[in-house]
Amino acid sequence: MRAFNQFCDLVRGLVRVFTLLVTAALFAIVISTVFTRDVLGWVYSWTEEVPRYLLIWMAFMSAAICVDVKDHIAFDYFYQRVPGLAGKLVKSLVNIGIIGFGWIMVRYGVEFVQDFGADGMESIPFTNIWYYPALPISGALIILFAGRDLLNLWFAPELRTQPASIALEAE
Amino acid sequence: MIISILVGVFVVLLFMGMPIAFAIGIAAALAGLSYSVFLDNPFVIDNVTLVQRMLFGINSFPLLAVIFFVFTGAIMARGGVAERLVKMAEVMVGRLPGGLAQINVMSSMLFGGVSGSAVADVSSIGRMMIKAMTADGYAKPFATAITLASATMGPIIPPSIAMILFAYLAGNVSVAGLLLGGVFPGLMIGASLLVYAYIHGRLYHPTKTPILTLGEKVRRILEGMGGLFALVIILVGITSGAFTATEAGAVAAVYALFLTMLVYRQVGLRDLPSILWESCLTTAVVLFLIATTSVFTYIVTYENIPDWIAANVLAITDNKWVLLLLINLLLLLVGMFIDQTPALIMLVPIILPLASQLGINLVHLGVIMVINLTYGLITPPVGTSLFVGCRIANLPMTALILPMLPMLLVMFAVLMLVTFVPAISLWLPQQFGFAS
Repeated sequence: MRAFNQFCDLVRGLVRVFTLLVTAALFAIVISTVFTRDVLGWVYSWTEEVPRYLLIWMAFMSAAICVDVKDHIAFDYFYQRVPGLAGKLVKSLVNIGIIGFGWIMVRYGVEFVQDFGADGMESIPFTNIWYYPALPISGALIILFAGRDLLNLWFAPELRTQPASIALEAE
Repeated sequence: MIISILVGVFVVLLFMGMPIAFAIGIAAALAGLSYSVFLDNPFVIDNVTLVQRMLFGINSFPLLAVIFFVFTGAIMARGGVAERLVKMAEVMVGRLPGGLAQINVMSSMLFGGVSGSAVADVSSIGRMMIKAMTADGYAKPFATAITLASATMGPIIPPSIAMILFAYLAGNVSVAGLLLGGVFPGLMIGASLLVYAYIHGRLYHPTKTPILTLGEKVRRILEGMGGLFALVIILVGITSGAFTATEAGAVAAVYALFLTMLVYRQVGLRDLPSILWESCLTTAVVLFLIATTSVFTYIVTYENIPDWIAANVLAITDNKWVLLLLINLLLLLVGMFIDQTPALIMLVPIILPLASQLGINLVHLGVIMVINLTYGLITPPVGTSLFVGCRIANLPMTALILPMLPMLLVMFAVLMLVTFVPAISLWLPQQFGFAS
């Protein structure tokens, strides 16, 4: 289990670096556009479109990480109060549900990329293959991180991340 | 039938503790599947359409404003702005009875104009003020309760992520109008809490803070103004037409970097990745919710549910004031159980057609919805700000109910005023041409 957790941590680290680079590029483009338009009087035609695609990458990659660090908003008032084995089963069902949704994102995301990825972007000579894959890749990461939580729940409870609200209440 | 599956699955998953974004997504996927299984109509929403709507649901330039405002709030909170605003607030109200409680409220009012987040307010102002008030002899539950109550100004006074979300969800409402619409209601909440702190101070805690020299007062005000200038950039930039909301957020982010890194020198280059990462995660939670809810909304709209609800509610009453009262009660109830962002994303498409039919101004509606759901952040059993406040003060939730009750009543009175006197939220946007 430790090796699997280390692998997940490595993936999380790589996704973090990628997402930070994407977000930094997003910031740089929007900020420089304000400067070039208001100070220099011109803008590139793609400065409205490309930040949107970067935002989509940032959102889907970070959303997958939020599954791992349990940052997604949940109504976990009752969920955390179910004791013992019943509680473990409920938590397992929740993870299985998340994995199922991740599978939909992967399975049908890939189909969507195959069907429509070759369509062109609006203002730049690239195809949508550059941003559509954000969704199936996010789905795969969601499966990985929810799978990690499910396995940790049964085999290595000490390695599980606590939901943010419970960590707060516990203190 | 389809709606029963959609709502039934969502509610079951919600109470199981499934993250709301996934509960909505799974309910929508199962409802989509039901079209082909039960109704032999596979073309309404298959799973490829589901992922397409998720992608297109967040493919929007105005949504970029969210990450810029989140980043600005995060860096301001980390960069020493909160401390300076507390010192500035001491100059403004510290000499009134109940000095520290007054400072607490005033600091939140000022910080609300910087962070746009109630949680950021509780964690930064709360950390300082609860400790200081307890040391000064205030009961810890009272100190925590007033911190939480005053933190509700964060998402109401601009910049406000909730207002940007409402504008995006409603479609044809001016972001600038909504941001300006929140100014007076936010200030009224602050003023009402200052009055409450004054009365409480006169009765139980008349201590005032020490007298400051004129030079010290000027220094504190100038230092505090540094943080508040971000608010000026955003409001002047948007109302003058110089920036869109997204660009105003970007400029405010650059200003926040300049202020905290070069002027205050409390944020270093090494801190930036963690602040940016924190902003990414916060923003992703919002955007992923929008992505999955766009599928949910598609089905709800396909089934004409908003029109059905509108027709049924209008059969009960077509008086817009009664309707506004009912909307308030519904939102307060929902806010007790569901966080502000998902509640907003799910309820705006449902309430909007109803409000439009009765001629309710959408800026007015947006302000009312944001205020209600912001109150939900501090009401039990589920409230993000409430959890953070309990953690900082190391108190159980139950200890806060009694001291918070009078404050909630005062805030409810303000909500009623904002609801039944539309000019409070509409006058300022109308002056700038952002509301009819």
